[in-house]
Amino acid sequence: MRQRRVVTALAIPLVLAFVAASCGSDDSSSETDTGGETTEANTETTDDSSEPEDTTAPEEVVTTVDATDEIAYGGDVIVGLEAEAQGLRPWEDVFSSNSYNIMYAIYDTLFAQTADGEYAGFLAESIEPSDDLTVWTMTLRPDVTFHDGTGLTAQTIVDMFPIQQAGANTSGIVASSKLVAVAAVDDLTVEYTLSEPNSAFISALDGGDLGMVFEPVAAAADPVAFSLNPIGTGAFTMQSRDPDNETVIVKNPDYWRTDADGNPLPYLDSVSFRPIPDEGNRLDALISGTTNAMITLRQGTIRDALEESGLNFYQFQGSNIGGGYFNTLKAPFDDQRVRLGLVTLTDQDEMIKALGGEGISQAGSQWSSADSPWFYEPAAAAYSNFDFDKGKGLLEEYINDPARSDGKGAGEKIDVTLSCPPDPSLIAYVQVIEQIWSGSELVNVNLTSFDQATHIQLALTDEHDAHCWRMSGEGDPSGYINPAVADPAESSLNFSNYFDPEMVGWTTEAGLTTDFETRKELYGKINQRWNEQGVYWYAGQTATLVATDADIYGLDSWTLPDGAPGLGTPNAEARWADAYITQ
Amino acid sequence: MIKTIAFILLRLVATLLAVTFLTFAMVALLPGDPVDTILGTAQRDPAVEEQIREDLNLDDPFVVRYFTWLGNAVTGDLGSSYITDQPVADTISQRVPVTAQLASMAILIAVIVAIPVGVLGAYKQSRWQDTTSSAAVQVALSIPNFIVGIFLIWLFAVQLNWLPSSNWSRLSDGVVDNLKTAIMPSVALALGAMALFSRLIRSDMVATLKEDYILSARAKGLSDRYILFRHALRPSSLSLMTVVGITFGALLGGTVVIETLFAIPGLGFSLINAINARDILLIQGITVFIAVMFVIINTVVDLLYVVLDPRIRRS
Repeated sequence: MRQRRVVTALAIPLVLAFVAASCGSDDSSSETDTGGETTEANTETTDDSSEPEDTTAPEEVVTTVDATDEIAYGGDVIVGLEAEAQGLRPWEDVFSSNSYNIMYAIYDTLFAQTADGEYAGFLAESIEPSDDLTVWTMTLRPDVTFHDGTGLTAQTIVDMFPIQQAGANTSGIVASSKLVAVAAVDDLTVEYTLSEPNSAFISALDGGDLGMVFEPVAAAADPVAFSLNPIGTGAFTMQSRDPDNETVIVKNPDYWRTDADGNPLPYLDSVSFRPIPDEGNRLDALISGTTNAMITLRQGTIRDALEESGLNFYQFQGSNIGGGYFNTLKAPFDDQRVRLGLVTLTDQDEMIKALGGEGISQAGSQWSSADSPWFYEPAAAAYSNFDFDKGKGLLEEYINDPARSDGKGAGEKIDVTLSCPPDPSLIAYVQVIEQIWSGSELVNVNLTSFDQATHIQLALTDEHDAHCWRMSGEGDPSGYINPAVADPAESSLNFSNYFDPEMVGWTTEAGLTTDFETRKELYGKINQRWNEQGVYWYAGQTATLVATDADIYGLDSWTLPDGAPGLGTPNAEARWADAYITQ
Repeated sequence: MIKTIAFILLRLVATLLAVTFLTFAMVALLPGDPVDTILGTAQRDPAVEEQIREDLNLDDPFVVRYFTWLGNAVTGDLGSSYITDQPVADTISQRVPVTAQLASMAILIAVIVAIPVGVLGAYKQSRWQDTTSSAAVQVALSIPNFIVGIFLIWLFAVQLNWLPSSNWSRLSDGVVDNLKTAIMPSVALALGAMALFSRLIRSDMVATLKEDYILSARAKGLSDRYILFRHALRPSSLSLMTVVGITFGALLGGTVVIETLFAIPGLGFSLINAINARDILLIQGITVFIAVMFVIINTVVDLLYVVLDPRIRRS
């Protein structure tokens, strides 16, 4: 009997030590957190980091990696992705950071963004709009071939168009960009015809919109097979694709692009992409050498990665911003006092701390980051920063109003259902919000959590109150803001349902001019109006990271064909064509 | 015999009908629209959205969709994934070997460890060997397999650098590399099964060792080892066999957490992705496959009883 007690007593600390070793060095995986192609849905990010030992991010963060002169050819990189790219068809498959990492290596785009956020030619050399902005004439770069040897000509772009018109991913962009016809003027000249003026049309020819150039004959012949064996003009060709396990791409020996010194690209022999949904294991894979690069959009993982030594960190915090919005069609959120009151009660610094640690991301005030050329000071000034008493005062005004829109009696608390996807950091984040809102003693907060698909559907079908979301991006604001101000009766993408015809007028006006300052003011006024109305609350710019072994360089020093520096790694989208391993 | 086979087949069909109908119904009830997963929240063309709904028959009544699927399924056509457009049957055929290998290795590890531990516990009943193994079993049963997985990654990948932390190397790419990627997830899966099997073996063995024929064997002067493994183990294995079969079937569909943790492209990983994406046809296909395998495995177990136990044959 005594022996049994001793053995049992020993078993207990053994278990505890076991569990402590497991939890202390890694993140437990969520049973439902498989990543998946979801970040393109612009919902609040998921982060399955467990309770952090230290919630303070390192004070000094290396945000750029100094390129070295020791460029060497050769080498293989294995990249850990958050999730598998569901498909590699630019016209059909919805993109995310994961798929962009693969697709930017296989495909080139017509245009790309420079470090200043401007659009410059990549496969295209130039583009000129007509005076009325309805006809855009583009000149392609000569002597570019697809992986199968087919030449890139103007006819290629023409042949892509019907596929893009019918494609799940691009049909909406074709419609919203007002594109109605594509014609080949000569071998290298393409003419785009729009039904209405659109000064931002060039932004549709960048990235995953209409600008990613694929071989249309093969795509039309067998679109299902094309997803497994895509054909582009990019620096790498597909070698093998084992979905949910590994995608291997190898150097294209006939790639047309060179580096600034005229040396052929790419430098690497191959890049392999492995989906590793578990955040902790993805970082462990990098640390242990199973992979030599990884991407993440989770603040907690970024914090953990930055504490590791012997790695290069390519960080990017752009205009994509986390936070949420209110359904302005639903009482009490149809009242500005309630919205503003709740926004004023949200402490952005505390939310950033809950998401990944103090200082892990910059606080935001609008749909452009502070260092973006689109940043609008009046909008920043109009944002209701945390002020507990002021927020409470606004709510009290509503609550004591006998004509309050929710039909409740004067003095009764308002009811808010706050919804976020079920991930540990998001749960911590909404609990911070809940504590403050409830702490006012004026709000009953009901926290709900649904999987990503349900969360999105609730947004699309207006069945929500306060909804976590992620907004904006690096491209032209028309792509993000126009749908968000559209008439909700006509567009389900205005998730907040806040509709002001004057704001729609501003977007129309912005489409009629190419003058940057004018467009900046127009979109800035939209942000300002949202802030004045309390439509959105913000929880920091989205922090993203590509972490690599210490001998991998080039991800933040890639250039466009004309030598202009590229935009770096927005949303952890790396340009592997320009990466190299030093000797 | 023919009646038995007919009964088994009838049971299989009834089970499959029930499983597929319930799965279809439950997924249909879930909020979330596969079209939203296909189109995302980017701008969409209403005409294209409508075309997608038409192509996928999403506007048909639930019952119509189910019987359409059923009609195709009996001819072997499980449809194509809403999201990837890849044939469901192809996806399953790529995933099955992975999960089957994981499950088989887990069972093998569990049985190899459980039998001697269970036999020892029964042989040395109430002594320190039995007490220690019982305590170890309790510990093993208490720890979730993903915690074990995380610990193994930390130890063997991060600290010792002996094994890769994630992903899968297929058998066709080399046995050694394959085993390196399979061993940790298999051990994580095996631990709970190991504990269960050893307890089962021990309990049955304790009862068997009290039988008169064991006493006769001892009286004849046979060695303890011979008695344990030649006379006692076989009749004590019948419960184990049933549980092994059920466990294997459960593992085929129950490896979601471990496959996700280790980023292994098996059935479980595919299934959870399909559920998140509301990829109904892929969910159906995988569910049907798991159900079929479960019934087949249990049928095989039933037949093995006849082989192992001559009393059943005689009766």
